[in-house]
Amino acid sequence: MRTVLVVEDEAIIALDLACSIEQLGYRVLGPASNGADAQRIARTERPDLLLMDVSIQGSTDGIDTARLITDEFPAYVVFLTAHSDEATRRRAENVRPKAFLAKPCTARQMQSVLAAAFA
Amino acid sequence: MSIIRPLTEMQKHLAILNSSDRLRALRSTSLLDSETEERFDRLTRLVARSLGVAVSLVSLVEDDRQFFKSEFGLPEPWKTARETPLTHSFCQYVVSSEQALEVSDATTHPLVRDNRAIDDLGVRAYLGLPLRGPGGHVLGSLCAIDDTPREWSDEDRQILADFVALVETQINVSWARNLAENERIWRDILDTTPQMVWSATPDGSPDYYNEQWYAFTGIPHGATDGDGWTDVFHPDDRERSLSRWRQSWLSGEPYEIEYRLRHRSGEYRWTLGRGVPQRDETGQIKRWFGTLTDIHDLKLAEEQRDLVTRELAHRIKNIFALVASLVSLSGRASPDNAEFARELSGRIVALARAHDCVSPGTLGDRPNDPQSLRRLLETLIEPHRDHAGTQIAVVGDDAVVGHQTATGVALIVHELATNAVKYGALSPRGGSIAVDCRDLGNRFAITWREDCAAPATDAPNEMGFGSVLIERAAKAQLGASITREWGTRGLTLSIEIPDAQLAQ
Repeated sequence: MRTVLVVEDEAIIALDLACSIEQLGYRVLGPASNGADAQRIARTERPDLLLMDVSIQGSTDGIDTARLITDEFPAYVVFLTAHSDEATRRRAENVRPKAFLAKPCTARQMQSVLAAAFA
Repeated sequence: MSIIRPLTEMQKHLAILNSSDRLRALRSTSLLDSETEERFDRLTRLVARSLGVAVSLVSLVEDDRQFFKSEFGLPEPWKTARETPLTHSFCQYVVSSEQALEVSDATTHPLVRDNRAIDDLGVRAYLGLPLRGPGGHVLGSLCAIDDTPREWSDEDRQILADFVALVETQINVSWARNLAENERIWRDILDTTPQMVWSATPDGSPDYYNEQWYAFTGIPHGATDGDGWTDVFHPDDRERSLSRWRQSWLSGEPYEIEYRLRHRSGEYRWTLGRGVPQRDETGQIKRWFGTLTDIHDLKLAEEQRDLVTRELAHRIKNIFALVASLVSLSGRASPDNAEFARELSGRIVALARAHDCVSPGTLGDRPNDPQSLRRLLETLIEPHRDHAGTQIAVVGDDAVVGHQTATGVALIVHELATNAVKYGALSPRGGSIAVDCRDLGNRFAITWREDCAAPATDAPNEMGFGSVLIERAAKAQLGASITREWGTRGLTLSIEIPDAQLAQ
C-alpha cells in the first residue's frame, strides 16, 4: 500500500487530511506538525509521498523540510498552500513537487492530485 | 487716397511682423518696456547731431506697436509714452522688408504718405536701417527723422550704418545679460526643486545633474562623467535599470522605473526615475529630461502593507481550511449528515478560492495585479475539469472584480457546477459547458450554457437550495438580473451585473 506522510501543523486540518487520504486507500504516516518530526518519521518509515504544508511550525518550513528529506531518499512531494507569494512559489519549485494543492480542498481534488502523483 | 498694396505684399509684411520666432527673439532681449539707458541714449543723441536731424529713434517693432528704447527729439506726448501704434510707424516697413527705408518727403512717398506719423509726429523725411538681434532677426530700426523734406546723402547713410553696428552691439549685450540671468534663475529653480533633475544627450549619455543629485549621492561634481553615473546604482538593480533606459532611448518612449540609489550615507534608497524626450520640429530627439524622486519611505510602507495583507490573507485562508475540515470531520462522525457536510464543505472551498483570487499575493500573482473576472471563473471551474470527456471553456471579455462580487460569483458558479455534476453536462452523460462573458456597456453579462451529450433531464418543478442560493447571490449580493432556461440540451443561465457593482 502506498504511504503518504502528512505534514500539517493545524491539528484539525491534519486529521481531516489523514481521514480523506485513508478513505482513498493510502496508508497515512504522521501527521507531523513540524519539520523535525517530519524528518524523523520519514527516516524510519520512508514514505512514498510527502503531503507537506508550506507553512509549518518551527525554524524549518515545509519547503526546506521537503528538500532535506528528498536529499536523503526519493519521495514524491505535494505542497499544500493556503496563500503564498510568488517568491515562495519559486522556492518551492526547486524541490520539483508533483503538485501544489490549495487549501482548503475537496476530497475529489485530493484524489485527483494523489492519483496523478503516483501515475 | 490710400495706398493699395497687393494682398500678397501685405500678407508678407504682416507675416514677418507677426513671426513668432522674430517676436521671441525681440522679447529675449528684455528691452521692451525697459527703462531708458544712457548707453542707447548716447547713440540716438549722436545720430541726431551727426546727421543734423530733429529726431532719432531706436525703435523696436512688435506685432501691434513700436517701442522706443531710446529717442532724441520726439515731441510730447510721444516722448513720455515712448511708443506708438503701428498706424504711426515707418519703422515697421524696415522690419518687414529687412532693408533700409529712405523717404525724402513723406507726403508724396507712396508707402507712407497716409501714415499718421506725418501729422501727429511731424515726420517729413525719414532714413531707417534694420537693427538685427539674436538669430539675425530684424527687431526694429535705427532711424533719423526730420520735420522738413530732405534728400539723404551717401554720407548720411554711412554714418547711420556705423551707428547701427553700435546699437546692435548694445542689443546683443542686453540679450546675453538676459540669457545669463534666465539661466541663473532656471538653475536656481532646478537646484532648489526637492527632486533630482537630470538631462541626457540623444545617445543616452547624462550631461547634467542638479545640485539635489550631488547632495543625495554625496559624490563630487564631475565624478559622474562617462559611465561613472551607474556606480551609484544598487548592484542588483543596475542591469535592469540600464536595460530599461536603453530601451527608452532606442525607442523614444518615456522612461519610468523604480530602483535603489546609493545615498551619501551609504544606504541604498528606493527612487522613482522618470524621463521624457524633447523633440525638434522633425520629431528627432534633441535631449532627454528626467527626475529622480526619493520614494524609499513610501516603498518600505508599501512593502510592510503588502506583507500584512498577505499574512492576513493567509490567515483567512487557513480559517476557511479549518472550517472546511471541521465540517468534513463532522460529516464523517455522523453518516446521516455526510451529504450535507459534503455540500457545505464544497461551498466553503468555493468561497476560499474566490478569496484567494481577489486577495493580493496569490500564487503566481503580483500584489498590484487587477483582480480578473476571467481568472476567477477559471479558478472556480478548474476543480471540475477532470470529469472525463467534459469540455469547459471560459470565453469573452474580462473585467476587474472586487471581493463582494467575487464571493457572489463564486457561490453561483459552485452551485451551477454542482448541479451540472448531478443533472447536467458534468454528469456521467457528458457534454460541454461554455461560460461566456460579455461587456454590455453599463452591465456585464455572464452566461453559463450547458450542452449535454444526451437529452437533459426535465426542468425541476421546484427550486432546490442550490437554486435559491444562486437567486439570492445574484439579486441580493450582486444586484444582478438573472434568467434561466431549460432547453433540450440543458441549462442556460445568464446574469447581468451592473458595472458599478463589479469592483465592489
